[in-house]
Amino acid sequence: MSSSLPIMPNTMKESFPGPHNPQHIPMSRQLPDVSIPFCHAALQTATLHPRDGVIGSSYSGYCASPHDSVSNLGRQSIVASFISQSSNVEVIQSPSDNTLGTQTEAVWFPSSMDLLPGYIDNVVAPDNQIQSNSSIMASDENANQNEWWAEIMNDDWKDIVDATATDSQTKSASFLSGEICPVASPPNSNNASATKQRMRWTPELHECFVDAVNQLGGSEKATPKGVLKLMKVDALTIYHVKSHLQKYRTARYKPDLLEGTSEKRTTNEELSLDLKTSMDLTEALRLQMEVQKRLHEQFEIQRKLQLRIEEQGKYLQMMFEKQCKSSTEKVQDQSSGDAAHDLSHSVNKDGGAAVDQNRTREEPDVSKSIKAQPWAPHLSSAHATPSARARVVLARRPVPAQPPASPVVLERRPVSAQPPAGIVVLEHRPAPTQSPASTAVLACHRPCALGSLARLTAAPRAHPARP
Amino acid sequence: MKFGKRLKKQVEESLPEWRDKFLAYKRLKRLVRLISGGNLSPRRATAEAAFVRVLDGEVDRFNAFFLEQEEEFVIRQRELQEMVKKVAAGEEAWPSGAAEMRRVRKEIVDLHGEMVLLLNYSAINYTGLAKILKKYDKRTGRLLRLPFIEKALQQPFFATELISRLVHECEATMEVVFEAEREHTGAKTTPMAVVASDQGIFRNTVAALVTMREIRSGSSTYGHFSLPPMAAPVLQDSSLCRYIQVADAVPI
Repeated sequence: MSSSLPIMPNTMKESFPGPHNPQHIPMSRQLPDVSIPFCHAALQTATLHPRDGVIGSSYSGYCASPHDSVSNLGRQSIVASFISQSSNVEVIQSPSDNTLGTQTEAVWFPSSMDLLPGYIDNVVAPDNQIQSNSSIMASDENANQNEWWAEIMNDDWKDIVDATATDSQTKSASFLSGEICPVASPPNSNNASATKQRMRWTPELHECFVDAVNQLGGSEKATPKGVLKLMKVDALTIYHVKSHLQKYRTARYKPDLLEGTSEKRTTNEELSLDLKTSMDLTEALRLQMEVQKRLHEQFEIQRKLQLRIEEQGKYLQMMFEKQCKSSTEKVQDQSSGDAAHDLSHSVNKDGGAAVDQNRTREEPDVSKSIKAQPWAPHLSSAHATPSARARVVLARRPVPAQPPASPVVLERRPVSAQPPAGIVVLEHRPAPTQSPASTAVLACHRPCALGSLARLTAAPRAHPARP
Repeated sequence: MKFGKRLKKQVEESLPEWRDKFLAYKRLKRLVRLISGGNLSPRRATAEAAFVRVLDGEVDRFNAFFLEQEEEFVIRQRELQEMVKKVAAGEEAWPSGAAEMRRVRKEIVDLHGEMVLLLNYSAINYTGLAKILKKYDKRTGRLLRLPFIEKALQQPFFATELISRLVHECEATMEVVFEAEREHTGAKTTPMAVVASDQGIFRNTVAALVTMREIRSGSSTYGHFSLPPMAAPVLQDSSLCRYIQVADAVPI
């Protein structure tokens, strides 16, 4: 897998003490699916959400596998690497040699306030170190960096950077790490930074909690420690219990207050109240309930739709990648071995960040994609949303850069056979799924440079195998 | 910009404590503009890094708020159910028992409303994320949207099944209460404080429905990831107006 991340190791080298090979990047690391024993074996629904302590993301190797000892720099480089995976490599390419390691990082993590002065110093300092022909570190630009930086800080950036600087340190990678398994609790995050983790309190867990509290004599008498002991839930910490107990007390205390006052009021006032008013009230309540119910229904429907749509997108992506993979296997015969290797690896990445590795030698933002227009005629180019378009380079040979506006012809020169079937059409909503067996062309686009929509003409026919 | 405005309206109509918990859509849009505007590579790189960072931060915020609210709802739901059991047993004398019942009803409806609003919170933020990611992809030519959205789908703030379940339970509880209440027709109630809070939630709910319909009414950039418009019979203007009128009619 190392070939798929040519640049990464270089940038990471500075921040991680370890070797700069994808050892840090678990391509398919599975987080253990820990079923947490709550009170009884039946209660397995509580979840932990690590907010800190970056856990290796199993998400297609975007993130390195960090441990809690990883510095902030390291964490931020994870974010950076995330970007690099899914973006043109124009910035990353420049610091291809390690002399630029530190400067590169400074570029990447400007939000870290302590880095800023460092960056400026680096920049203003001897620029004779800089040897590469990168666009960033070109010596003639260094003089401008200061002003540029100051200028940036002056406008929108100020609030953005200020706002993100503080939380970036701990949270920058927590999203990336915490997303993986809402149910599973990653083991190594239990010990470290337990205070930052959030527990998902399910009704069952809460029931267990209430039982423990009642056993201890009620919400006022119970102590967090006692409750924690009684509950015997592994993943639970005293902080969770403490905050939950507090909430519980508040919830019980308020109604007691209200109860006292409202009773007094009713006995005094009820005789003077109109029957009609009360009926209106009930009616109002009912209506309120109705509206709420409707809203709820709509949310459920909407959510199902959203999930399905995204699932479809993923499915299409998968199909596309499979197809490209089979294409690249043919390429392997013709071009050099590592080219196809690159391709197959890059194609296998989620989100199709594939291209970039191959484009390290080419200009950034080149749309040399192979695209196919959805054969459904009612779809215009406007419908090809960025998410629906994937850009793939099927050959190592530099494809001529396409001017953004011109149509790109479906080029499959080096590729021998495009499998006639097994491609799915990226159909618009009305017909959500097409059977893969149909002779539809897989619409795979990636956004062109700067969002221009290059339309493709691709006949919905299988291309004959080319040698 | 339309979404931005709608989001703003939603935020304004929402419960006060929630107002700053929504997606910082405007800020992200500014970032995207910065990114696409600046051709200078370093600036662009920093902008993009900041963008992802802000996005991550936002998702963290959503998760935190969502989980916290969920926890409270779990607690309140259980307390309410206990109360309902007590009241439905109907041991107390008529005046106070009825008062209890009324209070319980109001509490249930409010809790139900707040939970649905939490769902709205989740949905709106998700939509905002999807939209801003789409803009980002379009402006920068990157492919951030798909992977990011995929992860967002797995986030706690989007895993709303638990809340949905609570809502259903709440509705069931409501049935029980209304059943019991029918036996006490003619009960008097104290309108004042009760209605005030109802208004807040109710108004928010109505606004949410309207916004939802607007957001889904039609798009200039329909894509494969766009949601279809809402089914028409669900939200007819006449019925909505009726709801609002009734709510307004009750004196505050």
